[in-house]
Amino acid sequence: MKIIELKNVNKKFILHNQKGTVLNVLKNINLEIKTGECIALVGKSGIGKSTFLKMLYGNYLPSSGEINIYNNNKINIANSLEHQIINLRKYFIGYVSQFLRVLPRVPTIEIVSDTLKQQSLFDEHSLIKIKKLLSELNIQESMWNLSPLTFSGGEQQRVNLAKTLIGNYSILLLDEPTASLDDINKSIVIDMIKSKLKKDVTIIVIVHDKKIRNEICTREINLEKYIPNDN
Amino acid sequence: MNIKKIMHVENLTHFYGNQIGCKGINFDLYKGEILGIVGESGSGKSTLLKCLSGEISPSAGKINISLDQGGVKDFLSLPEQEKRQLMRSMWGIVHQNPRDGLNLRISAGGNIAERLLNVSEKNYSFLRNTGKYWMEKTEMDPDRIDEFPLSFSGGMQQRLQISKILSSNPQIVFMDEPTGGLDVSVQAKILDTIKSIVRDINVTMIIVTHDLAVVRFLTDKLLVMKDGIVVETGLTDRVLDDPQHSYTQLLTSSILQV
Repeated sequence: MKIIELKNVNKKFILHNQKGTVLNVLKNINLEIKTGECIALVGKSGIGKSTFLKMLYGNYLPSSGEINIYNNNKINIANSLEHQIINLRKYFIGYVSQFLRVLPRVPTIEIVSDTLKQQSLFDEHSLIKIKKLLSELNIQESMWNLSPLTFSGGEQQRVNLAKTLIGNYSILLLDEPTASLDDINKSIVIDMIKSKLKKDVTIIVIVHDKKIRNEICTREINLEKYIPNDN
Repeated sequence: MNIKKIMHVENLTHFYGNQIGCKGINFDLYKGEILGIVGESGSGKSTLLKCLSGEISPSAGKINISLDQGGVKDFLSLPEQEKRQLMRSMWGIVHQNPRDGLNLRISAGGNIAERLLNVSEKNYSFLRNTGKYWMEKTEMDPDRIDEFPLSFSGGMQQRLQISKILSSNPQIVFMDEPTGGLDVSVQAKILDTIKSIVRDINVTMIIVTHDLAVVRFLTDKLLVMKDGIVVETGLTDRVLDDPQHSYTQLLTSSILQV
């Protein structure tokens, strides 16, 4: 069953305050993604992989075209009311950015709890589940009540992953989820991604390591073919 | 999913003499949504907020309000008395300076109770318990319920004002620079408090600020204003991360990195 569909999607950036420079990034994207697929986005650095992911999350606006998400009904994320997109993000699409972005002074455990509270899934078992996940991701117990903003890069990334992986999403968008992790933590995160796939979660991931791609991904989408000719 | 539209604004315009305050403003607000209005000083954002909250009567335009009990009212054409009644019972305004929103001559508990008395709640122990409940919810010490606002710090006064407004369960809350006069060290905690309360009680809110960090953490959608008009609107993180209009691009690229 298709869960994501892109129709004639184009993306360009117009930099009004830099002499109106136009950056044509991606052109004529037409594709379908089915439930349970694990898609790797590939192509050289700067080609627009993160831009592609951000468009799927509604964070970047396509210059034209449709991005349809099939929940119970079809929602074109490129042209929907704000509260519809917010609702989709709350219950349906999770996104792990490259860098953690949180309010200062909010403890790690609360940041992770927040996802479940948003999904109205927070109950008396939730804290045990959250602590288990944080332990599995090698975030020491002594750090749970601290804000992650002072953590190392790798630790922040694992908190960022915990914050999204704790939730019950049907689609996960992962932007280099293993980039700043050591080998042990890398394989832990890969196992977590695999168990999400077993639950039929659809995953779109940017990951440079070919070995990891071969291990988890069912298909690669090479963005080279969407580079506009005039670039 | 069907979320109720609770405010519909059409072509809202206000002039100060020949001077444009705000012009041709259109938007819809849905239940539980948090709308941010941003722009530099003089962009018309405070004028717009005052038009919306009933503090000034706009020169032209329409504001339709959906009532909790059903039905839609054309707010601007209501008789003055009905307008006041609606504003008192359904709306709450959180001022930038908490001392503008608090009654300094009565206790913290009295301040919270005052709004509830307005919506005709008279039971003393209920009022007192509600006061304590809200102080706790906004992370204040409920044992200080009998103290006067001036004995609190600025951050605490702002928490008290927020308690006072939210305790009466308003349909729409208007906030003008809610963290504007506060120390950075307390700003983040107040934002976190507001955010968690908002989720708990599903309140609808309009916030005016020039602080883009505040809108990123608190709001769902944004109106970007310049010279009295809205130049860009959309999902907050979309507007901030992929701004389309030249003014929004200028605004977002002008933030100093610490």
